[in-house]
Amino acid sequence: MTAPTPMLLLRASEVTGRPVVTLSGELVAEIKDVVFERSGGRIAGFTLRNPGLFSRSRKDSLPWVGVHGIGRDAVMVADETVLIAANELASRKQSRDADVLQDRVLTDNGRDLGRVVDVVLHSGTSLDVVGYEVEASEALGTAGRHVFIPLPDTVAVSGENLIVPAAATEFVSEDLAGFGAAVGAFRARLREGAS
Amino acid sequence: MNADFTAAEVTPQQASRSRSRYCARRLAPKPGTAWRWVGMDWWGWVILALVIIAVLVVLAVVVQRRRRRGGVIGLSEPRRGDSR
Repeated sequence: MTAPTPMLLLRASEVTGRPVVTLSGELVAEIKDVVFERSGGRIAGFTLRNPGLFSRSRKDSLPWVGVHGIGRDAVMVADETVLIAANELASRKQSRDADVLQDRVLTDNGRDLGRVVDVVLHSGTSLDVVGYEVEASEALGTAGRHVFIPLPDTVAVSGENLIVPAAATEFVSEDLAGFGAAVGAFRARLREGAS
Repeated sequence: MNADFTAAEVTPQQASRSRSRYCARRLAPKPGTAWRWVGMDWWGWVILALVIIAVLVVLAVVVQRRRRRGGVIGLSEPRRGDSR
């Protein structure tokens, strides 16, 4: 058995607010929302806002294909031509209604695990959603504390509740450092179960 | 009605004084009502205005921060940004 590959994990809230900078050094915008595909967990792109406290949302957005790189302090793009109209990535209605923050996480056997306070992303060749940070409910035995719940490779979610396999409760992690291993072990367990 | 009291006997000054007294009675604060604040010194008004401005600024900042807080949007169907 091989050791699981270490994962570079970050919270979605760490990405929001990061400046979007072109390779020529021009500040274009700031990241407003992270947009991901619910069926596969892959990041589709980012909605944008202008820099500054009283700035408004922008009418364009940054698709994942236009991202040159995500660094600790900025999201790099080749130039402004990579931006697309905001409604091509996510419509205004989706931006308003499809936010998963504060949604309830339920297991497929109907246990309420808590409310989503953040989303955990795995940064590699692509950026994927690998877990939720939730404010735990009584069901997890750590009510009120923030814990990390791993997600399977394919996140099949629709509606207002986020459904995870019941086995996810065995791989709940209390810190982000150990969460990468928990995601790997959880997904390995699901693959074993499926084969 | 007093028959001796005719319009001809009331001088314009008397009529004006009478009207003034009538108005003063109507406008005078009734006992127990909270009219005393009207007599606030000028600096009281300045402090009140500053407090109102401060509250409005704090409200604006709170609303704006909430509006600017990023979200995580889960798309139900693939869209253009997913072509990588």
